[in-house]
Amino acid sequence: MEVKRYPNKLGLKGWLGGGRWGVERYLYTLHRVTGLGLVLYFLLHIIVTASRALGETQWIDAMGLVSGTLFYIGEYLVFVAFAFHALNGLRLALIEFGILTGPAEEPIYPYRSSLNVQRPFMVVMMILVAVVVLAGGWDFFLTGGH
Amino acid sequence: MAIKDTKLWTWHVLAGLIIFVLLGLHMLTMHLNELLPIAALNPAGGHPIDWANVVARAQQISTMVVYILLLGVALYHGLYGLRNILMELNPSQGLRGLISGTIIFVGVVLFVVGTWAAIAVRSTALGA
Repeated sequence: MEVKRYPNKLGLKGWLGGGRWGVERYLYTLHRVTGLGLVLYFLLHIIVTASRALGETQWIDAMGLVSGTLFYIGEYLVFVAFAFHALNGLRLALIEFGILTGPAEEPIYPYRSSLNVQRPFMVVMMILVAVVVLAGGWDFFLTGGH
Repeated sequence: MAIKDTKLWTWHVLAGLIIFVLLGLHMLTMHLNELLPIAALNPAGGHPIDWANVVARAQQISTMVVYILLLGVALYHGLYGLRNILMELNPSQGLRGLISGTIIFVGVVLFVVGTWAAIAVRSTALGA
């Protein structure tokens, strides 16, 4: 059966406007932007780290290619993107499976939307993102371990 | 959304949950090793990407299995997500096929490369 498709009138511009959806809409945009960044990084990461199969010299050469301040900061940005995408993604998955939205209830004014039910969890997740980002920053920049 | 798309979407979400655990472990190994040092993840000590640690981890079969599993689910999750974003831009029917074909091709090639690397480095490590 032919699936009827509706034109995406807003296109990429639609990512920028939260409209009445509020903060979750911006998290949606950020989820997509971080997702695209992580995919791009991941595809390159597979190729670069495959050098370990060729031996120690090739591994050291490959790691040398992706070293330096610019790569180091970039690596931390990837870590930040991971922290956000992972924890926001967990929130989205729990909503997807109906775990956070709770059972259906009788609509009595003032109505509670599923967005409002999950909002406290969203706040908790964003606090966790901040904690992981700070922990990663501590590990990256303050311990000298990298 | 067609039934096939619904199934693929459900797998996309489930793959995300698996990645949450496995990539979390990877980040713990590579980027939180000073804050939360776990000897089993970096058996040789020192920096996580030191060759000695690469070899030590590769000697564990669990590492190889986890890497290949993570590789597969992450490629599926990432490339299916990318495909969804591109499809939302309403490309023509011909372009839709080209996008899907290219994404599947890239995914399969990188899965083969990554799997080969995980198996080959284990062979090297066991011989070391």
